[in-house]
Amino acid sequence: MRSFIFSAIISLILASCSGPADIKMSHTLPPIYPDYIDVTIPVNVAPLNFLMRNGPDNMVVTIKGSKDSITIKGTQRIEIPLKKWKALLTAEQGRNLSVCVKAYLNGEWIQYEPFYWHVKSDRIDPFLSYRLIEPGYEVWNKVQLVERHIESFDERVIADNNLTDGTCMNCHIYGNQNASLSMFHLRGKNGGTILNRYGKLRKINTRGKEMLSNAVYGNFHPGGRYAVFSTNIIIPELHAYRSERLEVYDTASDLIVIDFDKDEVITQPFLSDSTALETFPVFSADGKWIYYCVAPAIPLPDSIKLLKYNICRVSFDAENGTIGLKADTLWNARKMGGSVCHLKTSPDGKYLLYTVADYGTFPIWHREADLQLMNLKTGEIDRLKVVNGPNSDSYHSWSSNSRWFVFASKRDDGIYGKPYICYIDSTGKAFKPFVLPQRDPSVYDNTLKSFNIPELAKGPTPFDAKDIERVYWDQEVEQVK
Amino acid sequence: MSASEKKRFGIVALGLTFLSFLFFQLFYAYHLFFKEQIQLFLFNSDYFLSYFNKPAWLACYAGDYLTQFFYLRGGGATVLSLLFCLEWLLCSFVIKRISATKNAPLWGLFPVAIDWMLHCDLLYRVSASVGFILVLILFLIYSSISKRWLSTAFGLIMAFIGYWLAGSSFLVFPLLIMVYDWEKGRSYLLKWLLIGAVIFLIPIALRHYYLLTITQSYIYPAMNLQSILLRASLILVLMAAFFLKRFEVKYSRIFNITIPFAFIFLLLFGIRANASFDREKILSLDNEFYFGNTDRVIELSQKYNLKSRSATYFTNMALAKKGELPEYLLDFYQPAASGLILPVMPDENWQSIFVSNEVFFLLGDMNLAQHSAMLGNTFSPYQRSSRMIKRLAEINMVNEDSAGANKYLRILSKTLFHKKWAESRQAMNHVSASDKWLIGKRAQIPQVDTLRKSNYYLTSLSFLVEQNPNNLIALDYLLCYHLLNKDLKSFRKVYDQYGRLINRPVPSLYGEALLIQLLSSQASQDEVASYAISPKKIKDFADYTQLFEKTKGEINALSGRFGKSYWFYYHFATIQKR
Repeated sequence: MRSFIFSAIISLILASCSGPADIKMSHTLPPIYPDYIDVTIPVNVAPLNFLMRNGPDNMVVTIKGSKDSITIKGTQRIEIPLKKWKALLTAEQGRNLSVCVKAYLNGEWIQYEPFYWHVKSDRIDPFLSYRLIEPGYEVWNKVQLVERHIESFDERVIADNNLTDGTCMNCHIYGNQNASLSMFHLRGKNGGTILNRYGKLRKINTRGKEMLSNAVYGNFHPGGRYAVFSTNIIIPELHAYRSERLEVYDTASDLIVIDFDKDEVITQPFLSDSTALETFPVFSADGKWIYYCVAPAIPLPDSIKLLKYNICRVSFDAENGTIGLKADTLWNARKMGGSVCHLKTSPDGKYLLYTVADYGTFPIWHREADLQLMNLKTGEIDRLKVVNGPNSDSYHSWSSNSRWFVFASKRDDGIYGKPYICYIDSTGKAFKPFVLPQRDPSVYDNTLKSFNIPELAKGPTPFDAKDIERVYWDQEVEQVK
Repeated sequence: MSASEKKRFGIVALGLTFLSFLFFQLFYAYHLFFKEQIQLFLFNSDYFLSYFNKPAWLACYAGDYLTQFFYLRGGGATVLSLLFCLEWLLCSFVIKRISATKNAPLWGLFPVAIDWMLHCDLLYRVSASVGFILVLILFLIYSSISKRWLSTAFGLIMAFIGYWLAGSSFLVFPLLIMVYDWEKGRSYLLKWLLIGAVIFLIPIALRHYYLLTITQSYIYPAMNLQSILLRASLILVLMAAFFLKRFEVKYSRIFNITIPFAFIFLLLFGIRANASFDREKILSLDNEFYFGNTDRVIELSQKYNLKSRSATYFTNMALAKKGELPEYLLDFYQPAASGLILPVMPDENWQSIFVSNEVFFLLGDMNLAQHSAMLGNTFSPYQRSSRMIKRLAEINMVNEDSAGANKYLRILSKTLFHKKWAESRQAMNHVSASDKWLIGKRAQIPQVDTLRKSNYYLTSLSFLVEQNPNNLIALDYLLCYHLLNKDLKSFRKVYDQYGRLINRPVPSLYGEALLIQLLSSQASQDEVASYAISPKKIKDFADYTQLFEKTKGEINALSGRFGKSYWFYYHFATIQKR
């Protein structure tokens, strides 16, 4: 009996030690989530922790560079030590890391095909803000604006509607990726557009005389004095067919520029007439142009599938605060066979990144909605096949060095948007994107919130939820003229 | 503890557990089911860590863990009755330790009565009771420490972490310490001030960290101000026990009679004030429908005879599911068409929005069902509802959206009681699934697209019928929608176009409506005959018309025989526009 117990103990010890020594080779890639297979990452990103979908009892992951390596053990997921990860990435800038996954599954160790992480020395702006909200349907209950430090897993709530009477908050956007220049719309009876200009918070009622609505989609002028906005009458309606969910369209929309020094609204009649729907305006990197989307007004919703937005641009004179009289068309929806929205110019002025859907102006529920990249010098268009997923890809934002952009993608489940990060090299070539890493990757499985409108910034925002609560309740609203 | 005291404790414990179990199992079981449906407890590290985003992580985690057992028949009543028993036992010990009263087991009943009453509220969480129990345990530990420096140190440590562990219940801790020390003849003013200040300042100091309003920070994890009654009751009971102690030997019999009597009075008064038995009835209809017991819904609805839009909503769905909506619609209270579909509007309460997806799911309008289920989850108290997640998984499966369904099934697979359900659904979560239920639901969904506003129900119903004229539930809903709005022209148009194609005898309600419409349009005999309305119905109509004319529309004369006829509804129901 004693010898039996002794041999049983020895066998158990041997079995537990045999681990990766007794390995069956698999010629498939490991079933990991998130999909971090062969992705290109910045040197300053947080560890790419992942989990395995096939539920192993144990796993061992070796991340190997040219000089050093890290080995991490886990059960169904790994958590890479932050310090070691940073040191490894710093040492391996411009090179590839190989990732070898071994998993103990059904009583045996399996070693999968290795995959690679391409480490770029180009840094990504280290802060990312986004709105956490239940997906779609234009309805909210609990909303937060959150700022995430991309180099670690630190997260900070910069606005929470629990402290502001449950009002809706629109997404937080930066000017020039500068955390000291940002804004978001806070709705409700004490609301207004919260303008953070060099740390000073203002609350502005952006609805001037004869405007369709308050300011909606906006973008800062590089100088920070102006911002361009659309004003929209927004109608949400529901589809009836299968997973087509929500359609949102404008029955009227115009463009305005607001001068924050004078609190004045600048308009141009042809951008405010009822014959066309103008939306999603942005300034060019040099501030001399306003790019925007425009579609001829048609009967809606009957002709919704004919609602196709072009890309146009009009000049802007920052010195005199005037908008040009004539618009150029850069992307003709009729010829290109789609509808454009969410324009974003790269900070180096070379590119215009935008979303193209089959029709309409609300691509987040359009499965076919994809990002495209236009070279503003040559007019050449890259359809970014390596970047786009099977579901909606939209709401993008550039890093200040124009080498990275982040966008919201529903590629995982078609419902919940997550921030994906993509590299673009100096020639304009885009690489396979990766989802923002989390300390525990199952965050994405468990969340019932979308990461809405991710925006990159060079630093942390100078305010937090407490400041927003004070501004909402105590600060007088300023009225634009 | 003497033998008689032990006996007394035993009797009270058993009595309390038994009574509370009976109450919650027999009179409030559907509330407890519903409480489970509006939360979602996961066995996952990320989910566990999410509890640290708010105070009272231990109370909330333990409370939510226990709430998942409400899913089981008798589970909710068992959990609550055991919690009450524990709470009472601890309250008794605390009261005894502080006031040294002989009647501690009786005085200890009062906080339990308050907690019992609070649990009748849909938004009152088990976490609040668990937090209170934690505080009682911490106090008993504190009071068992004899060394002064050690008890002060323990008190101070607890002052800093008590809120973190137990939430606002911990605010009662300094008061307990103070009363205890005072009773023991110790006057530690500095200690009391220090511990009291820390405990009362911590919620306000941490409220921005936890993103709570001032009020929320002092009541968390409870959701309304009423919850402070639990803490207040303990303090009041302590005061009463303390001041009445001197009389308890002399008037022991009076105490033995009065305190239980006061407890019963308080309990009954509290239940009457806080419990909603009408809501329990509505929730019973909801749950019986949700679990597919349509006959039971109709039976209960007949028994309750509630004049409630929500009760009508579930009854109508049960009738429609059985194909009997046009037969028995007017046997039940009908608030015009608003008992057919519950609107998802900003002025609706969250319970109404929560259940609003049921009818769309029944009708086969998966997009409206998804819209309602998403909003049901969004507006539910914790924005994580097991029932809504299940429904969203089903909707995505019907829509052949495997990835979307997977998202929800994966979440459910991390639960204790929905795991099996998720695994069974996962097995059929593919496009070519052969499950009868899934094939039937998929057959209902439209094959073309249209856009409609979420509250334009007529457009949606018409579209469903146009797309699938064999969708009998949608057709009956559309026809009844017109009838309840007294729009006979539209009714006849739809009936002529789709209703006549259905191979069934003319339903009672439709026959009655058709007779009015045919009469008012002066239809020929042949035309009337073509509808194949039963001769008895035609005779009844003649009788009704005769009686109506004879009595000059006297409502009481007509209501006896014809009160449940469409003719009566048509003449006497008043439709109020919202």
